[in-house]
Amino acid sequence: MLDSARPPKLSRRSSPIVDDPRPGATAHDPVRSRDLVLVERARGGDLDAFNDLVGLYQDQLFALVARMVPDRDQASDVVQEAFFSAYRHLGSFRGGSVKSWLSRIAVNAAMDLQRARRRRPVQPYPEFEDESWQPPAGADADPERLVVGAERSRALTAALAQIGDDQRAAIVLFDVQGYDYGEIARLTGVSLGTVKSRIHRGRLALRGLLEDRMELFRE
Amino acid sequence: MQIIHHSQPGHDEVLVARLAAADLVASETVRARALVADCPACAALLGDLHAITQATATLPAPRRPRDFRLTEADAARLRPAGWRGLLRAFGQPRLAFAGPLATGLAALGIGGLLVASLSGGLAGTAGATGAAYAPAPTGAAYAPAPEQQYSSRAAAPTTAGPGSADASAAAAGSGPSVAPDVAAGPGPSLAASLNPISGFAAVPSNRAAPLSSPGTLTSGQADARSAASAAPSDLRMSTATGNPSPSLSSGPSQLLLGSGLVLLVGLALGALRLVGRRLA
Repeated sequence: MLDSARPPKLSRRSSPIVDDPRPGATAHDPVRSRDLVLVERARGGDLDAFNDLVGLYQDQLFALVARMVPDRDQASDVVQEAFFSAYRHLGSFRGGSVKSWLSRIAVNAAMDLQRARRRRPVQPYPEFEDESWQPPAGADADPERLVVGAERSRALTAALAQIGDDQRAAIVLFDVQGYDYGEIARLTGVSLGTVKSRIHRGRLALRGLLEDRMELFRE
Repeated sequence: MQIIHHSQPGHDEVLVARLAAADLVASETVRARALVADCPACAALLGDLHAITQATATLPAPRRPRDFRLTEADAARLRPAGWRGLLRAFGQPRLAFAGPLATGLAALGIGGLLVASLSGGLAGTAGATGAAYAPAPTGAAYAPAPEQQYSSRAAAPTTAGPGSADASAAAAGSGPSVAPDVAAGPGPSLAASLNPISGFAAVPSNRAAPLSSPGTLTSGQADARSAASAAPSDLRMSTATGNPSPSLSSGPSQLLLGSGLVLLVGLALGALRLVGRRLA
């Protein structure tokens, strides 16, 4: 069942607006049309057009990759390499959603890195205590709630880093990025059933890991 | 797969997880709801899964540490150059028509080759029966070239013996005649078929010089050989002046060549497109 009840998607950061020079091109999907125009211009050698695309999607891609690869430096390298790869392979873009295309490149790069990590195990992700992971504080934020929220995020991030790479990727794509099962199946190259199974079992694994800290999650 | 500490015998945790994700069909939903209603641990699991899912969805987005825009140097490094760039151009979507075009050209070429070989076979049959009786044009223009005489002897020693060369020369010098199949060796049509590219017999200027014996050349014949090899203009002239044009063999030959060319172009285009797409 593809249309399941979904948690609310994260609000996206505001992105620079790029005018679409084609008249009437925004009739159906202005975002997609704008992206396609930028891709076409980038294919023609316009680096600024490609950098407009980077500006539009770098936050989303980094948020995606950083959840899959909790080491921020490695996540940063993965995102940069994904944009390099996208620039190199502009010719292979066959239309459709530029965001999905970029996400696919980034997910593949992240999964390649995770496979490499499995082959050469190193120190586990060092970013768990990184303060930059904490949510921004609002002016009217309750200090106690802020502390609890920060601790919850830290615990959840640590638990996410411990579950399997495939389960983490599926959960991040589904719960954090808001993709549906079909999109995740296309992005990761597995079947719909496998995606569902990874999400369900990944959540169960998270619950097992957070068993002793569930009070943070019950408000 | 992580170990689930809350797992209890008889409790289908995956069913509860699927219920939390609203990922059940109607009958399963009834069973899952009954399970949750009867089992406090399952109900707690469902609540925990909901809480974890919500917390995951509201995880703060990590700040990116740097700007990922490409510099000119990056772009120059990544931009394809040289022959790779040329090949990648064939993989561009704007050249998508190259694939079907290549397929069409290759199919056309193969078809042409088939037709050419079929008509070539027919021509060979017709040549065996009718070409030998075709009246030779006026003048002495129909003596086969010395090389062709040699090759015809080599190819068919039983029909053109050593003495037939003189007969051929005599026949060639005797003006209009019906070229005898045996005495004169291969006639114009066969000579033409020996030269399928041009479709014409090579006719040297002093072609009437007789051969003294097979394998030896008189000075005139040597001149003839050199003239034949060094003066293609003679061939072009004979073409231009409408001298012998054996239609039975030139048609298939030109078709053969054209089809082969089209096939090659199609295959080359297809290969370029394939490589270009791989590089892109």
